[in-house]
Amino acid sequence: MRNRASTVAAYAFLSLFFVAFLYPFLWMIASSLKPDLEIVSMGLTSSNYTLGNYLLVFSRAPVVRAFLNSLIVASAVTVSVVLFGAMVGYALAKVKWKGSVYLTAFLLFTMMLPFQLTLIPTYTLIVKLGLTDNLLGLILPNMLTAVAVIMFRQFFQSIPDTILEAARVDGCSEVKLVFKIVMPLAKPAVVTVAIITFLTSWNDVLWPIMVIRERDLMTLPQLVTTFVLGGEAESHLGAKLASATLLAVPIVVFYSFFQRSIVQSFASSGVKG
Amino acid sequence: MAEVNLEHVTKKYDGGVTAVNDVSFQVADNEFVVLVGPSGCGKTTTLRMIAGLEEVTSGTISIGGKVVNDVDPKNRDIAMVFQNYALYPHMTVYENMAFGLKLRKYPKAEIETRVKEAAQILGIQDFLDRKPKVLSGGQRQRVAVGRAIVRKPKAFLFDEPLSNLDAKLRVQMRTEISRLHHRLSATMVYVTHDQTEAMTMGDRIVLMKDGIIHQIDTPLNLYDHPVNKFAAGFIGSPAMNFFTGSITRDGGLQFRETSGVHFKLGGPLESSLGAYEGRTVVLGLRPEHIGIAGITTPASEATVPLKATVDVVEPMGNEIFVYFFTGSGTQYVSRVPAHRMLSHGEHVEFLFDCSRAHVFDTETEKAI
Repeated sequence: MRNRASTVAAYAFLSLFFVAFLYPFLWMIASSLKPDLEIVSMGLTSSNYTLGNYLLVFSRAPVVRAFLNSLIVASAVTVSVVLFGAMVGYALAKVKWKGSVYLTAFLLFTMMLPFQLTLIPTYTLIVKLGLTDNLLGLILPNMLTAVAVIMFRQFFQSIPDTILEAARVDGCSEVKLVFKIVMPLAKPAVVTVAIITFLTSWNDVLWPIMVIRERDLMTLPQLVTTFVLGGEAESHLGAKLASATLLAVPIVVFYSFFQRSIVQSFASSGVKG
Repeated sequence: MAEVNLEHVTKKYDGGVTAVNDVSFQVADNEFVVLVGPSGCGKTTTLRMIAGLEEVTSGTISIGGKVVNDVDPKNRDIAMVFQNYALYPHMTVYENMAFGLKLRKYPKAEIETRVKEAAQILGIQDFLDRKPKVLSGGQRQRVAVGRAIVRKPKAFLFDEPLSNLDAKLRVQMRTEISRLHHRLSATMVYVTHDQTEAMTMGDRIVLMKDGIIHQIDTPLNLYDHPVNKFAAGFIGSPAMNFFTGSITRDGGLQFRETSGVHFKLGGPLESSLGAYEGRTVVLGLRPEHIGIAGITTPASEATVPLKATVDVVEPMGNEIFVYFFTGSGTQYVSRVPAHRMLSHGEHVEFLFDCSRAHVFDTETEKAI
């Protein structure tokens, strides 16, 4: 009896948190479907559900274009981080050369530097390369990350050397070794790095705001931010909530597909989402 | 198939350690050569240099008449079987075996024929679509061997392939590899620390210690005519008994052990040991050359009886190993047929067949 009582208490407590976390999100979705006047209420129901807010957002901001831009940037960044991260990680983990330990330490050091510190030099570089108002300006600086390199290196170190030697004797070149043996064996690491990179890139707002001015080149978070804060939504609270919902939808869909891998990724990498 | 030739090969590591020191030997076409020696003797490093997995510091290695010092492993046309199998965990048995052929762009049909043929030879045709992790150790090692033979390489290199298997399976795989050698008429270099494997499998044995070769010979020659004390002690199980003592002339040449036990040295030894009179030498006698009165009969006129107390008896079924101490406190072992069981503490007469004795210089440890 006592056990049961404590279980009930625990569930009641957890349910409270569940509601506390989920309710604002549900409220955002429900309110985005209500006329502005009804949004002041904290309830979820309405007798006048409308898609008007969404139509307003779509008519005033190039949402579809921004979604595609985000997709292009996040995909390109993810592919390149996985590709180059694995190659560098392999060189640090499995190729014997004198500077390998020092380079690894240096990479770890760069991870300690806050993004804000390199923001201005990187921006200057992008301006000099003429890549402002260009999606390349979003992709290029993020094509390789120290986190990815370190994660691949750590994972690759656990692959026995004899497997690589067997492949070399079998006729593998070093590049084929990375892609035919090491990467398939490192699937968990590849998935982890891919998910973290994709989400980080997708959610980034600060860097796109600095590099992109042209509306047709904006990423989705950037567009929504400028739409909501830049005055275009005027006082339409419903439109602001609709744009916020649009921003959340791709991530929710992505999450529902890769839920297990994502939880494992963040658990294994010790990186917060 | 081709011959493998090592000339004055040396391997020095960055820290200054010399793993292999001026090693030269030749593996003839279709020959099975075993590199054997204790841990850290440089046998695996030698094999890895032949494979191209370690760089050669000096000297030349040639395979099929071509110097391969600077040739990548993939271009040496050799196949290697590793101690821990080194199968690709993400591939099925079939893919594991086909991998090398695919990389070399063989036609699909040819790959399939070769893999199936190898699988047939090794009895693994039922596992072709399984992943390595569901296979037993013996099956995995068969796959590793299969992966090597489908390539039909110039030479096969084996790096302690049976060490991870249990005793029964090891004996079984040992004969299978020997059979495979005859069937494929292949050049094979085989590394092991197990002298039984070396004796049973090799056409010739290369015996190494501390990076240098001590003796290269056929198994029986190595057993019967070891060139030094190390070779004598390493080959044979139980190991050869060694007695330290001096050569005296007391009505014929005699060997007098430190404790006072003495043997008469007759036959060919008498003439060769003349120069060692008054000097200390090491006398070696294999366990089977120490009989026990009542179980064996004196093998030759040079048999010397010695009473001692039985310490430990190890019955092997067909024979027994009897461990005992002489007055000097050194442990010796005798190997006799299992006609009669002995027990701890029993006083028996051991029969030392000195005509079979090996004598070694105490300083150089070389056979006299």
